[in-house]
Amino acid sequence: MLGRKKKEKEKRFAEEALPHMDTLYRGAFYLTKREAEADDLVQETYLKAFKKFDSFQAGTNCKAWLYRIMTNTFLNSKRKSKRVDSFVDNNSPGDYEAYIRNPTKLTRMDPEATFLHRTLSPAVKEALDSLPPDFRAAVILCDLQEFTYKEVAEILGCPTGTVMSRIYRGRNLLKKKLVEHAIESGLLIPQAAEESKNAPASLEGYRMKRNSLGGGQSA
Amino acid sequence: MNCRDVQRELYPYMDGEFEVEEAVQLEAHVEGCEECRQVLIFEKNLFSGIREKLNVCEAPAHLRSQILNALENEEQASLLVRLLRWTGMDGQAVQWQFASAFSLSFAVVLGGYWLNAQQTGQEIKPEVRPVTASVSIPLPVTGMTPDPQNNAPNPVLSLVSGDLTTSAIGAHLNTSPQGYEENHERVWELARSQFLGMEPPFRESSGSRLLGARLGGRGLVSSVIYEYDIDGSRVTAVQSVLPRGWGRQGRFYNVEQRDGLTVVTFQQSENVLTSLVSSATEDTLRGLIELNTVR
Repeated sequence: MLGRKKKEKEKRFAEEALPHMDTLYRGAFYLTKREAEADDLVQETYLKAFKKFDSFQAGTNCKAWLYRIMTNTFLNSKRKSKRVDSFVDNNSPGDYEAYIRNPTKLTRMDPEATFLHRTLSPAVKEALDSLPPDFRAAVILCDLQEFTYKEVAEILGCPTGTVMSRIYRGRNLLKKKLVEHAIESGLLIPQAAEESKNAPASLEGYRMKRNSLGGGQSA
Repeated sequence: MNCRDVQRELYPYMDGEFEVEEAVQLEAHVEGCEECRQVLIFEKNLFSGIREKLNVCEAPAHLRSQILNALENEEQASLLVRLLRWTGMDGQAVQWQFASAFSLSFAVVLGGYWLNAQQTGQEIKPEVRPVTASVSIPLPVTGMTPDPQNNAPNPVLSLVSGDLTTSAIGAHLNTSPQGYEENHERVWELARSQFLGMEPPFRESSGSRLLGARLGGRGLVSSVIYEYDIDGSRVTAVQSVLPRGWGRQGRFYNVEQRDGLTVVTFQQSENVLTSLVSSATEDTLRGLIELNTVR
């Protein structure tokens, strides 16, 4: 009976897909830049998922399946709206590039990464927002949703090697943004690095220190 | 593994992607290398901190209903939404009461009705005298006689009776129904015109007085909720009009006791089920029904 089959589908959808709404929203919130966009993205994901629900195999990972729909929807909309991403400073060395390029320097500045405790969540979101969509998606799936690399690869439809490099580069960019933000707002003082053997040229270091201290006082 | 390898492979290691053997190798290096050890601690702290900072966001309350509405607008999803409302997945606390696909359709229909009756539960009035069987209510309402002994089981009605009981108690605990306060005839006229000739459960007489009535129900189940004072006791009657054909087989009569209240649900006519709620005993309520239904 057709009606019966349909009802079974609806019941399965209600039981398997809808409980993931909160976790999907969290992903959508960080994928997109505005809350309203996150709402729309989750809604669109559920509408698509319901239409395609027949193709979902019972017993497989429903959360990953929903994430695949959502991530594809998001990335496709980004590709449509902007063919080339605005991200440009991938290779342009910023003021604090040396600290990020050399993990040891960064570690000496703040061995336990305590600066993050004093960084506000909106600043972290802003840093995440600055990543190119593909990298952002990989980092969100891995860090927030704790999918394995293999699952991320399935969701994004790319090889595991690509996932690894996107996570590596995505995290490094995120780290760079956060460190820059921390130095600019005085949460992190590049003093320890200066004092180390591998310190940058003293004038540059001095300016950096002066700027960061000035920023800290005025804030 | 040298420092370069370790620092390049740090993330797969932190993410638990390493095989045991690879992890052992990396850990062996880190053990003997202060610099790499510090980088690892830093990275671990940094990303667990980021996770913490980013985990604070919650789905807004409106999103769930917004999505359910969107699904509802999809033609093919309209039934699903009603189903979700019933299962409480739209945020209301309702439990699954039915399991089979067959019963789901009734659950869907009754869900809204049930919720409607649940919205304003209040405390039971402390002092309600039992209704006596000697109430005189002169005019019979229908020709149906409740017959608990020869109650041919009707699977459809058996499924819904528990929910009718629940909704009737909800209506009873909710104080006087809003709407048609004093004019019995008017409610009767309304019920007649709206619900294909459904008659009120009791006619007004010296012993019974209508305190109030309102139209209720949602979806395919319409209902009228009446509140009577019968010899000084409060009796709530909920008439539910079921879709045609539901009550065809046999007659239905069901008694339930919950929270010191007796609920008798009987089949008033083919597609009308009436539930009476009061603190009186079943015998009293049954007497009341007989008085009303025997010509």
